[in-house]
Amino acid sequence: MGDRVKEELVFVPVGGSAYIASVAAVPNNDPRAVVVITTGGGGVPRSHKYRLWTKLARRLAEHDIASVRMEWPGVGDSTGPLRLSLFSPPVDELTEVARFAMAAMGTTRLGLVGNCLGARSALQVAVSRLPCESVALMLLKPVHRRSRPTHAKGPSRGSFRWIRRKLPRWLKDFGRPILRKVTGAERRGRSVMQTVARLPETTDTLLLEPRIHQSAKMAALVASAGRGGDRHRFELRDLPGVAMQDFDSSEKQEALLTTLVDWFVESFAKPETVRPSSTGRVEQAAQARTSATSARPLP
Amino acid sequence: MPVDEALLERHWGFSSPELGISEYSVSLRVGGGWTVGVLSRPLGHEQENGWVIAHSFGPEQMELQMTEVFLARRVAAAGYPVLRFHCQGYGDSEDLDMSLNPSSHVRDTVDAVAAMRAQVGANVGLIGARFGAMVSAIVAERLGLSQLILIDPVVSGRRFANEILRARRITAVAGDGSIIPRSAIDPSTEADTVSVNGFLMTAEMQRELRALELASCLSDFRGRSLVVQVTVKDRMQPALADLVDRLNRLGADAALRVVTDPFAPRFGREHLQVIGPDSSGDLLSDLNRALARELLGWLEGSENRGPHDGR
Repeated sequence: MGDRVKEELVFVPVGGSAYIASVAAVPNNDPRAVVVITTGGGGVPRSHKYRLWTKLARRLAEHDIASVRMEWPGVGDSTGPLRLSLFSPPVDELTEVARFAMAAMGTTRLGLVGNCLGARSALQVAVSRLPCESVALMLLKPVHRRSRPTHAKGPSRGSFRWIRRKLPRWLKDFGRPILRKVTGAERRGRSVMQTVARLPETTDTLLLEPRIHQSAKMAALVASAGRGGDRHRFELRDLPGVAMQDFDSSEKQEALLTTLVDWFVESFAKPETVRPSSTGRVEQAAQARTSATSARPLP
Repeated sequence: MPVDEALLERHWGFSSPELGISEYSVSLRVGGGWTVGVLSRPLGHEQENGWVIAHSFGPEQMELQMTEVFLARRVAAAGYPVLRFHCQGYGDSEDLDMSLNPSSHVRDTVDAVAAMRAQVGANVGLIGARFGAMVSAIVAERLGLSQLILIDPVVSGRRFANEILRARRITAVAGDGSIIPRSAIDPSTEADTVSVNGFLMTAEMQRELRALELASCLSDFRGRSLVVQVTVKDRMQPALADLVDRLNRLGADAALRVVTDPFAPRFGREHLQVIGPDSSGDLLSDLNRALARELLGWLEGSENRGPHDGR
């Protein structure tokens, strides 16, 4: 597939019966690291909208960084039941694919990138499953509103749909924040950033969120998560779009791809860090870098 | 450490007794470039004829993929090898920057049929949904294929192009404001080349698309064909009924089936939705199952009748 990269579709077994369809992009030279690329919860295939992840994989390969772009179970060519929940992200699947990616590419240096559901999965894997040197988390939505269910027919409709239908809109708008507190949605939103704060200090962390300058709440959350002088890199940057479908222009795509490629190239330019112990404590970092919690726009 | 090629190779495919199939990734050369394909084969007895799935156009390709994968696996489990692949410009294909046009779809599908013939022999049929059905019809007639399945086919390229552009204009007005509301109503103010969900639609491509009519694509097809209409109400679409009549007059053996589903309007559109507390589900899962039933029933009929001569 081109001069600089060879691509192979593989099926990674997960949980005994499901197979995760993933495309391994192998650079011409021995890879110096591997990045696992995941998608969101909208059911897009591994190439993502506008073939963004295919382009990202090929750009990373130009820098001798291998990648594996994957699909969730039940999506695209993957088998298994479709189960996409933002508050229960598929962590086992990503862990298995990441293990496979490291073994196949002959490297222990791991990076993760994902948007929305993929970002939440990547976050949990980097916090508690695998030693990960660099993560790029897009649209993690730590202060995002909880989405409302579709008015779908069949068993998917909520038990209280008939109540919701009877209530006037103003009352629903008034009641929603209260419900969010009661149901724990508010707490779960906060807990996302608490999980970010639990990332090992050796993990370079890039958060890409839309309209960061308009959200004081976001800035406060990020500032609290990124606190600590020993962090390698911790950055919040502005994403020029509130969802992936906003990246239909070549300028926006180029900006996003450049940001991600530069991020991982810089992360893997450093010597490999020694792994944190099982308790999460970093025993040694080969090169301690200054913390950089910043908010700057994409190039 | 070097790349473990053997490990990658061991994961090129899988066998699933649960699905009754094995699947292997294949590297195909279509339209002068490489692309990724998946070949599904039955675990049990394999029929002599195979199928190729021609995917749809532009943004519809992604939205129909889950349906196509589901159908490929069900048809494979029933004994028929099925190949699905990405045309150039889509998914994992080599040339992502090309501007799409119907003729590139046809060119790549012809190449994929040739690749499938090399795998399973000469007897290859085509399955296509929406615009993929139109591509399938063009290729089936050009290559003289003996079997064809058209699912909710686009009957008019002009109407299809208008649909895509109208959806794009509405999105642009509501979303980024790149189009002012007046020009959303009046398409004559549209630029020659527009980006639809990241797919470039050039003026030339729009012209080519608008010139296509399904009926004229099948002016000399004599094979067996199944046309499936996807609809909310159990009412036959006159254009499809006319097409089937016309095919039968030509000497083809064509049948029309109607599949009803409340989410039929979502066919080819976004169909994964939040359906429960913070979780997504596929609104088209029942429709996909119904389509598979129709296809398998028709294929069973094909077996009983023996191979059709084609032309």
